[in-house]
Amino acid sequence: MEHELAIKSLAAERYLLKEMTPEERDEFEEHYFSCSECADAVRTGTALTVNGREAVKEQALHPSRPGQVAVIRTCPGNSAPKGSRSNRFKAWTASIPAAVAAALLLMAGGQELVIVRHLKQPRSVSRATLHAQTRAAKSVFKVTGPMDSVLDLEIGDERDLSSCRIELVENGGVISTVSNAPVRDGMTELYLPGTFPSGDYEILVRAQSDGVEAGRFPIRIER
Amino acid sequence: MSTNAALIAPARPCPRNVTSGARFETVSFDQDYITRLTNGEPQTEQHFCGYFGDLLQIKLRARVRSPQLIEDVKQETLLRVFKDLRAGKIKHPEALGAYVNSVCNYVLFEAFRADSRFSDIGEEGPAMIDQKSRADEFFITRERKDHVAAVLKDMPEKDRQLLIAVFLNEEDKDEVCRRFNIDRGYLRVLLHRARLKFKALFLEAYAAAP
Repeated sequence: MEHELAIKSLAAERYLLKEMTPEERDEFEEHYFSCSECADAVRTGTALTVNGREAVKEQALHPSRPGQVAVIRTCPGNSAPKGSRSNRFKAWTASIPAAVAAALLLMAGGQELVIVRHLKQPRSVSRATLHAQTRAAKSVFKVTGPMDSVLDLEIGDERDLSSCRIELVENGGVISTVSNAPVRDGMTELYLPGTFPSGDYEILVRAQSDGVEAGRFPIRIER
Repeated sequence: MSTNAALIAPARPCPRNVTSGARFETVSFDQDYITRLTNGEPQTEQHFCGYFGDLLQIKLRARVRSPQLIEDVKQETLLRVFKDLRAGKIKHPEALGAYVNSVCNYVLFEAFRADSRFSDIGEEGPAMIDQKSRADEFFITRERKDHVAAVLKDMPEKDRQLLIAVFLNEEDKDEVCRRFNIDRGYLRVLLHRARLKFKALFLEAYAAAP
């Protein structure tokens, strides 16, 4: 691959996005091993994405740090999700902070049912089940205190979803998204770090396949 | 594969997990560099291992699941290049990079052939995120993470969400494009801009360092 072509076609970006055919990939690798400019592009791009992934993981735990973006994560609990191995692993890693939470979350408010379950191991995990709300009759679930929480989101099983996308909405804008969250028996789970800032949010669950809304859960966080 | 590595090791074996450091410098390989490398000049050896170690890691992480195999192939590649350097087989300094790449391809081929447990992974292959994360530890530093956070902070909201979705949360690209109503070209440009900003922050930090 010629350097001019590599620059013009944003080859480094296509390489990092895995958009190249195996032949193109081999050609570009042959090029960037000999071209310091393209090697630099690939190295900085890799460092950006790899460190970004780590930064996002950290932000899930410390969203209030200056300059950081709040991130939510799904949590599998003890259920056996139907998703891929990678999704299951993502969800498993997301559950770790919840597993080490030191005490129960204080929860109160307009939700009719609070359940603590799945405590097979000696760990302190707070869970609450939230039922999907309609636009007309909203019941806001209140999360108070500084502790982490795991929310079971009941979206029903009418559509028999196996995976979903969860969006956290604030002031009408999506501030964080989790894709390919596993759904089992009409339920999906979400880990909400205790450091998540106060405010009124809406958790929006959509079908992973077509993006159609499957459930809506208004929450108010008061730290 | 690398059990006899010590027999062909340079005077100082390439330390594991050496990277070329925080500074993303450009390099050129000339006869002087080859001579210093052949003579075992420590700084040049360290630079060589860091520079090509990074590139080999990037190349291999797209093909190999096992971090251990990545490390083995990388070390074996560097050792063979050192051996060939000392045998005077590399005549053209400007071809050093291409030579390293070729040796890596050969070592990788040998590794796949020798052990069928390891297989190529493509887009459709199973994603071993845990293994991949371990392989990626190589590139992760506190400083780099802070720079990424700074890059994200300065981005428009939509671009930030896009970058997080595609590159950081590794969501399906087509689905993300549909959701944000953009095409793949926009993703490339977005990554390009983020990469330049990321590098600029590094250069600023490096220049400001005492």
